[in-house]
Amino acid sequence: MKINLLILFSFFSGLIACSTGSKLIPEIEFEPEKNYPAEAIEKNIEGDVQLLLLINKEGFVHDVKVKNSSGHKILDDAAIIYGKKIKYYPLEKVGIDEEIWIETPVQFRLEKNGTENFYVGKKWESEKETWIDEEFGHEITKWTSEKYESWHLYFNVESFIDENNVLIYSTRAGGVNLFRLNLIDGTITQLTNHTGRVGTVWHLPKLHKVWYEVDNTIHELNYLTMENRIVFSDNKIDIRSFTVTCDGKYLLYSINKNPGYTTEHSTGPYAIMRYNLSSSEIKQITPDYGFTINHLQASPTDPSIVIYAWQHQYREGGSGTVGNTPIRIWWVNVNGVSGGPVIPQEFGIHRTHEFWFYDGSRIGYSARYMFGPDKGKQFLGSCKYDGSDNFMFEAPVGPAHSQVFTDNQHWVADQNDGMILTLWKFDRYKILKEEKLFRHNSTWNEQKGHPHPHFSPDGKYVLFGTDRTGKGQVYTVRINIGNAK
Amino acid sequence: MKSYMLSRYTLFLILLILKYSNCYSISVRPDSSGYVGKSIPAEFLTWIDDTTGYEITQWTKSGNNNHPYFTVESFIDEETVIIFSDRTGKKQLYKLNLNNGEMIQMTNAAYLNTDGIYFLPRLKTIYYYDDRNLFSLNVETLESKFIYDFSDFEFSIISFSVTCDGKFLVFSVNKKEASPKSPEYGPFAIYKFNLSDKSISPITHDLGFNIGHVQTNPVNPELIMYCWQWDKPGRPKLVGHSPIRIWWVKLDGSDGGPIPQEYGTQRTHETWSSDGKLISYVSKYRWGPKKGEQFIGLQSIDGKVNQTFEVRVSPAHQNLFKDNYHWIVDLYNDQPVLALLKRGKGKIEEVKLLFRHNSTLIEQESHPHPRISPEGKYVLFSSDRTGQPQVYTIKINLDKK
Repeated sequence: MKINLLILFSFFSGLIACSTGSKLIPEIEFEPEKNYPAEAIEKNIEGDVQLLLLINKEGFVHDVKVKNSSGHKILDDAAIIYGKKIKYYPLEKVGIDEEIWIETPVQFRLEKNGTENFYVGKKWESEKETWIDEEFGHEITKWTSEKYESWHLYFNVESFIDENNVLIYSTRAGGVNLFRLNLIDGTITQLTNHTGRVGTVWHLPKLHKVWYEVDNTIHELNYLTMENRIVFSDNKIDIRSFTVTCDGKYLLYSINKNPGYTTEHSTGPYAIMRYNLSSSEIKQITPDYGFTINHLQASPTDPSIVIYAWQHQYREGGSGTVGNTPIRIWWVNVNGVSGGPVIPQEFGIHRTHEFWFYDGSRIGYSARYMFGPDKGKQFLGSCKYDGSDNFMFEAPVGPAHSQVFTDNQHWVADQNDGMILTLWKFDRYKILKEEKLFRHNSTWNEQKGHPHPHFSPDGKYVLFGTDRTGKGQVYTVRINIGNAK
Repeated sequence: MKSYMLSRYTLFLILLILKYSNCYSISVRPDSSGYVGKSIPAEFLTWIDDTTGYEITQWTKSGNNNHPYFTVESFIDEETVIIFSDRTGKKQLYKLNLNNGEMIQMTNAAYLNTDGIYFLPRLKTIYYYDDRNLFSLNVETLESKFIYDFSDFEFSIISFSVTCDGKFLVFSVNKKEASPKSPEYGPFAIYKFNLSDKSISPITHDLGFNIGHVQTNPVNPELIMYCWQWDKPGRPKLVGHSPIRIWWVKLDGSDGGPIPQEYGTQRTHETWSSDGKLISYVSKYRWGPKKGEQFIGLQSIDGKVNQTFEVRVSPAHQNLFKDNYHWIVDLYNDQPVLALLKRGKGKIEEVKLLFRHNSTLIEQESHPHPRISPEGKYVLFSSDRTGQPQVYTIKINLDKK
């Protein structure tokens, strides 16, 4: 009998004691990703862990102890990892001027879903609404219902299965699962049936396959045959990002070899690992590096090349080194014998949100000068993966997510003037035409509310998301650049 | 010169007046441990090394003695070197005469920062910190001039050097240290301090890696080299190797970037050649099919010169002689020896073992940090082979070839 599991992972905290003896509750500033160990799910293990957290004045958790065990080490360990990553607001907000211990229960529950029956293949009728946008005159379609949260894949992963079908995430079946949205009839078909949250996805349309992460496990789904298999699982590692080579041979993932971060120990190094999807052989393909490795993207045409990002941290409240990266984009050969930075990169500029052109010929990115006489100037740019033949055109796009159409002549970005989805026709350094498509008004609060624009393969649509109505939803704007040619 | 005994009140008034006159000699401080200009009699010992046949001289014996870091010129001229010594109880700078072994005390600082001094031979000027106060010291007149009090500068200074025209002090900072209260740290940046008008301005933006070894070019005052210093485990930091060790930036902050390096290598201990045209470094493959291979290299900023010479010297401190053909290194074939290398076309043609220095390498003071004298007569080095760090030379006589 198939059991639908719902992971309840509740967290609340209460102050047990402080120097004044008053009852005060520190407020959580950052709640980390919750991880119900896959082994515990598999073995149907539940339990309650009572933690003691030592919080310093700045709100960081400095020490974690198990006061009452769940009786299962695997759950106790998961609770400790979770507790260490919580960040509270500075304690002065609740009138405390010294570090304190608080007691916190962490519950691990596996429960059956509600009464509704979800399954792979379940179909939802069309939820679409279409209108002509008054501001820019384009046909906009909202494809998903406000009853659920729905969003498409990250901007550097192909969301389109073909011209008429799109991969989306949605909460409509409990947890977060993958669905196929049909742009002809608006129907939405369930592709996965997990009680957890499907996370990062890589998609190879030619192979009709997606690889996705759920509960620290990577699955491979053939969405034609609906064959779904677990291809990789290792609870001991912290996968930052993954991709699959265009021939479907290797899964490549970046890890932090020493995750967590306290005053007692260092974090890092980071490295990229290669996993052979046939033989299960694992090989490290980069040295141990002292920077955060993220945004792995296999070339769409060359199975030997992967690009990745030196992910900078520039906000207070993070961990490790804060500061800009002088070189954002790097590459490595999957054989691990060559690689390096995608240079030159202009001095003082900050590139971000890099992606492959469809034909694998170039890497696109958005960029802005953070320093020097050109500080503030913003661009969309691209170069070959060896860094040569770099060109940029100026546009006020900030750190936009963007994509270039298969003709290598049209570029769409989601942050023109901060909030306008915009299409440019370009010729290397020159803008030939600018066309504003839609003021999406994303809050930018969460990834699922970001527009992350995608061209449909036939150039009929730009697919995007926004939480302009309160929840992340899936939209298209009709552009017809394929036909317009 | 004798020391002064002043009441605290009188001293305070004098210091106040001098501080606001922006120039004073540190010799007015009460001194119970020496004074500027004090002559220390020779205490050297010379012998011929049984194994190598080279003439070795140990120049110091009292207290702990060492010369400046290997990236900084230690030679005032062919026969005079700068050394640190704590023989009077506090670390001070001295100049050591290699003809007669006499040492002359050059500073009487309250808290000399031994991590960083910088010397411009052409200007005969040493720049040093006494606590957070920057001074310049004329090595001929022995006059120390107060330049600037960095006490109010909000960031901690990691590494500094001075442009060859003596106009700017260039330094790297960490804008936030990791602490028990907050484990995040950085960003890092490079600033310049105008030694004339005392203004401070950034020349890079805020970067997310530890910036060390800031080295101004010895010929071009506009050119600065620095390194991405990797962090080792055991500290609350992000650890791991840097894929690109050496970077450059123009003084006006208008251009800069990485010096490309071979995939899988770890370069270290880079220095400018004396003509300022090349960067010399040691390197080893930590990754890939060449893992374990080591070499010494020369590279130009524009990439037009990029030569590597296979030799097992990593991670030696190295110094390239002015002919750009001879190196002195303090590690060879994993042995604690000083070796003189001579390059030919694409390979090392000659290796001369000079001396087994047997440094414990425990502290920077004990590291050999070898330097070849300007004309090639000596190799200067330090070692704690006898238990305490002391200053030595080897006579190599490259000047006579």
